[in-house]
Amino acid sequence: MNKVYFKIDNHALYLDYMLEEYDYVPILYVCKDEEQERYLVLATDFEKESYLISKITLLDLNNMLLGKLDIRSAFLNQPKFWSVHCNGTDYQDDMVNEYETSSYPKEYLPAKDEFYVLYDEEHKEYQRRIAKELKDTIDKIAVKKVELQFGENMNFESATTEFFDWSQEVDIENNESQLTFVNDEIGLYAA
Amino acid sequence: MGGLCLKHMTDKNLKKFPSFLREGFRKYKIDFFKETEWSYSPVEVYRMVLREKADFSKVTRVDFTSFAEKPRRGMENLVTKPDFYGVSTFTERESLVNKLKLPKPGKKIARGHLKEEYGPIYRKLPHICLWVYSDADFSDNDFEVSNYE
Repeated sequence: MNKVYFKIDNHALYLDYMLEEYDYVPILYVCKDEEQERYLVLATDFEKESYLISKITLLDLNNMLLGKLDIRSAFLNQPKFWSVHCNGTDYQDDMVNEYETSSYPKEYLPAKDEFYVLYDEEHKEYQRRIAKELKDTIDKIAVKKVELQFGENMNFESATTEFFDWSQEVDIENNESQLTFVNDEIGLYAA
Repeated sequence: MGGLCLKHMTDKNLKKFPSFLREGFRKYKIDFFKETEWSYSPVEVYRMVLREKADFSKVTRVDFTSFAEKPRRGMENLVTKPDFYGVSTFTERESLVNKLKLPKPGKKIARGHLKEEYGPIYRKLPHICLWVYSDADFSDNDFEVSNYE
């Protein structure tokens, strides 16, 4: 059983991947909850063990890992986030406060245009895993959308052309218009 | 793990280290990296230190405290790694700055020389891990503290 790192909004968060550390102190990492939703975690204070946590979509996470979305925007793209002050190693002792994104002091966020850099093969492998998960999600969305629109017996290939150009495999890295559309759809169809 | 350093775990050298390192190495049967340097010429490095805004005071032993001495969340799975018990320094300022881009009030950069009297090192450039001896005396250090921006 994985260790619970935080409890946010009644969701237990487990470590998904460590993105950055200093002296083995985690600085930036990704957690997942039981519903497979992902959260971006940033240490805002080494000594006092304070963290900033927000949900992050697969699309934003993928773009952040690829250096296309700055880390600050990954937080600001969410309507709210949580500030966590640890009182020991047990999450049950944490002090958790929820903030509207607009009201949170921006000095604790990374500077504007601060981009994540994939610096080794292990991190690149994590990005590829996220990209695959994103593509699988896109596929599921397309199927559900077609089923809703045309019924379950509709030919998938022809029907999906209503929504995407599926003549080629989705180019996750380079097709911004498809991804923007998909990002809007994820909340509706990705359950 | 490398073989060379089993020697150091069983001889008096291990006694030179603080108890948290000795206990960790014994408990998890850890060895130093075989490329660990026990004798070396002074090497210039950069290290993050925590200081209030107007505080540029001299580097002390406290600035070389390993977080293994004060474990925190997310570190539980790292206790079997030898460098977990060391501290990080960098031979290139830029490499350290890149690590520190994320927010942390009070971060500053100290530049100075590591000396073999402080403890053995393991180089994986631009990163150098230093395992600090219990009695390491930093009073004569040449580290200068400056803002990192």
